[in-house]
Amino acid sequence: MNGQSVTKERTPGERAAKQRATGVQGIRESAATEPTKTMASADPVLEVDGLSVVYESNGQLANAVNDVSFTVNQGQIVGLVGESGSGKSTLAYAIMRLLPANALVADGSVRIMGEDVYRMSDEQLRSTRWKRFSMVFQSALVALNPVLTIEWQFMEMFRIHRPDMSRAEARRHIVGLMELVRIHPDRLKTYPHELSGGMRQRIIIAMAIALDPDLVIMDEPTTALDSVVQRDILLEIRRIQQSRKFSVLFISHDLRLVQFLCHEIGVMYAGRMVESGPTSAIKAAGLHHPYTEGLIAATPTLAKRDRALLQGIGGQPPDLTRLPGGCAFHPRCPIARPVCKSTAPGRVTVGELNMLCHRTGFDE
Amino acid sequence: MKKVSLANIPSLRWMQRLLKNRKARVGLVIIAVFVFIAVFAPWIARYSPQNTNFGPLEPPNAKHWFGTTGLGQDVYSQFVWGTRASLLIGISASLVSTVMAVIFGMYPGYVGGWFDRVMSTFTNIFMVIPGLPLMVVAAAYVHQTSTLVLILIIGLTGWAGRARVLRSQTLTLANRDFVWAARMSGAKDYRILMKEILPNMMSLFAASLMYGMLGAILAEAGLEFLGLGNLTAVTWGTILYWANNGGAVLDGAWWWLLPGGLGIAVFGTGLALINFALDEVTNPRLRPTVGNAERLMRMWTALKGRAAMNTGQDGAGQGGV
Amino acid sequence: MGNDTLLQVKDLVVRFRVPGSKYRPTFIRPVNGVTFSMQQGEIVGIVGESGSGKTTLGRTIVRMVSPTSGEIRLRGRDVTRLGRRQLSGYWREVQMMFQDVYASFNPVFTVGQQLRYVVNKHRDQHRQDVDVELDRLLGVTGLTPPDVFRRKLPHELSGGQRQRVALVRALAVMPKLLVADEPVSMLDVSLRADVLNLILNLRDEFGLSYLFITHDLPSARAVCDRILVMYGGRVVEIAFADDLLDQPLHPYTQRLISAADFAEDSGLQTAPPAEDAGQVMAELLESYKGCPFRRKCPLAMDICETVDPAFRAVSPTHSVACHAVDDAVASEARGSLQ
Repeated sequence: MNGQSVTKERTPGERAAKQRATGVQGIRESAATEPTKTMASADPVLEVDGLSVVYESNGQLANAVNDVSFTVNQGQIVGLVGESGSGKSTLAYAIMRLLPANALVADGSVRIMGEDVYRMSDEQLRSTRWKRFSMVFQSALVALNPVLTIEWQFMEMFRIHRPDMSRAEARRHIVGLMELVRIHPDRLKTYPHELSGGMRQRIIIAMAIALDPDLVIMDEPTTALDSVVQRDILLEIRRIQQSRKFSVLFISHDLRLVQFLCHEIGVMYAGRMVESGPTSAIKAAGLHHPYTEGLIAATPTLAKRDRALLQGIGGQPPDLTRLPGGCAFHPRCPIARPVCKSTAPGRVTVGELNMLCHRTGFDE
Repeated sequence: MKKVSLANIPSLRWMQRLLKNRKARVGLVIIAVFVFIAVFAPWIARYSPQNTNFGPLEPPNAKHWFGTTGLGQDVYSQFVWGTRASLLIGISASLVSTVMAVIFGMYPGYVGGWFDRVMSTFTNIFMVIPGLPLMVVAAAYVHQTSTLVLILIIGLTGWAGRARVLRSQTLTLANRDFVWAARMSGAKDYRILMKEILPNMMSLFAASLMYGMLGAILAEAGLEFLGLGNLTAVTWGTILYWANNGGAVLDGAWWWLLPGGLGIAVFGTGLALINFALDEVTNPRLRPTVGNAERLMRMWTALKGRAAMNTGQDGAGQGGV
Repeated sequence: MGNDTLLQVKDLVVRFRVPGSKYRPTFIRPVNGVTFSMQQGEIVGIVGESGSGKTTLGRTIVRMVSPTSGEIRLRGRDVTRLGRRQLSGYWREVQMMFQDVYASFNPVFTVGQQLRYVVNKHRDQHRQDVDVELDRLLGVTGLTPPDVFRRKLPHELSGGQRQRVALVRALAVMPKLLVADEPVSMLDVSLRADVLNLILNLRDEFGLSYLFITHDLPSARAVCDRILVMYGGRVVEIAFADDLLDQPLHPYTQRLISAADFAEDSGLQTAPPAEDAGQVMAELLESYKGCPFRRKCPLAMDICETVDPAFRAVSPTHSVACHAVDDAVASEARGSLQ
């Protein structure tokens, strides 16, 4: 906890303000206005502004998240896609303010419903986390206590966060949640290991939305599941999201899932958001970031009958402690030019897309 | 393979990390001091430990640093020679019991089948027999308890618990995928045991050895204190025995009692410290994470500075749009 | 089947006692009457969800698990009951890539130390030649420069690199058949294509055959010649990959295909309710009756409750086990395939 309290002091608001002044842009041009607390439909729920996260790995500095800005609006599902080591999970933990002690938010700000997460007191954070923003982890077994029944774990959550609720009220609420994720309330009496992987993930989702949060962060929620169960869970997330109207930040390494579920997509590579925009624009043919194009070509699909169609990106994801100079993607980029080695690319806008690339045709 | 350093032998990298651990360092220094005393006892001791030509019950003074015993022996010299004897018994007995633990735990655990069941039953029987009474009976039964006999008694009674630990570890390792992969690559049982399984339990092995050493020294002291050991020898245990019998407590001759007891306590602390450190080094969950926000911030600022220099014109690449 | 038949599996059954059921033993059959064969040089996919028995089938074929009954033949030789000593000979011809690649390497030795042993064991060569051969294999799998990778410990490698090292270890034995258990499932999607393409290239270069076990139909589609779909310990459908995707006959195959289809909003229909599944799938219990898929099947009929559907050929290369696929459907399928 020591690291976190230090972190707080180290993230003064003026740095965030400076970032805004230099014109950092996100998925949506997030206007640097004072946060409003009214809830209109286009209100930002999550604003990430110029966020940089570093951590120490074997005595070296790893730049896991590098100047990332984006906004998640009310009722929106935003996807972050990238391979392992792209910083997408670190970003999620940074938003939740759950970074381990060897990591640090070096720059930028995270605001949820207009409130800066890193300026909250520990007490404030404890009461806000889970109530206003919650998280679904990759492995349900990590999130659930193996020696307690599902019901006990739900009740405990209500006891802590909703002391005003009576036990009977809480139980009614829990049964309602179970019905929402389509698990028979009988299952409340069971222990996590007695449930299948898909059911555990449904329970986790039910827990994440139990206190009606404004934002649910989902970090690879279906990666450990079979393809059939995976699809069921995705449909479930979409259905529940449509009925409850919370916002989702959905993180995955699989572009197919993100395209299937999300309204807006950010593609991460080596800690940077290299391309972002609405799903329709990401899916559309036309100019993209070469990494996004590589991802699309490398994803096995049933439609790719001809074996030549499946093309890997080649190379390996970069070591975050030793990022290549210039554009971090240049060693794997099929269209890299000398300028890519020497200079970090600036942000360009092509139609609805926002990219970090030197590609010809992008330059004004 | 010319430059031999721990970092070059991956199976021993935990040792390198161990040497960086503060607890381990303190423990190792303590052990090293005792080993030094034991090895160089003839030069460090000032008199013969059996020499009774001094005044009885002299408190510590310039001539007798730790004072003298009721029989007029030099306590300092007794402590030095006692260290040598106690360490010899401790290390040897620990080696004996570790060999027993390997024979009854590790090997059957790997082979499995009826052999494992028989050996396992035998181990269980030994486990339920309380250790000290067994040793007492064995020591009383063997009339002439020479040092060798003492080593064997301690070594042959104290292995059961560690045999079980080694067996369960072997069992889990023997069915791991990498052991299967080695089998499929054509490795024979002996190689799998020595090259695949053993290197993966080196730290457990080391801990077992040290735990055994601590147990053996305590057992030796216990037996000697009860008068069941070789009373003509000079060990930490016999020092305590004679001090107790000679009425050191009644006479207020604390200097007579203290060295034996302190020797056991400090040496034991040294072993325990190394054991704790081993746990920390091999079990990543116990390793404290060092979070130094200040330093991270400095590193980050330096990185930003370098990046700005590389791009030539600061911020030129960031303008975009 | 001609002389090129590499592997024949006939009525294979694996029976386990459910752990903890010592006093009232309950048995499951993760592999229950599996029959198939494969040709030299073929890549056959075994596709199914977790609990379908596909991993146990793979482990039984490499004889990490002993079959309860049935027969496994490699190039005509019965290998079902090989003893400890004979198995080391069998493993010169059949190798395994483990689901958790990281766990399949000794964490304390470098890649070079582990691989050199295997190369040395299986080639009659001098020390320098072993190194040359090892470097060649590392190069073939794209681990260049080899001397960098030889010095690395398993945990210092990325997921894709570990898969390549696992391939090198298997190749060093010069096997005929490689059983690959979920070789790409733990990899990021962006890295899968490279490993899948490598698997294809190695088949051509080394004359390898693969049993490719996966739950991900698109990955199987990318490399497999034929695909075998498993559910509840049984094979429910076998066909050439294209036929299986064009003409999926078994409802479970159809479900697998729709799960892999992420096309525009094709899946707006609500998800089916969650199924119960504890530690042991009911379908695997020995006492289970009828078609394994009946409880989730949209086409389930009365007969499915009691009678286990027979596995029958609707064409010489397409077989299915389903009551709902009646003769009319079968003949239609046969017609369209011709």
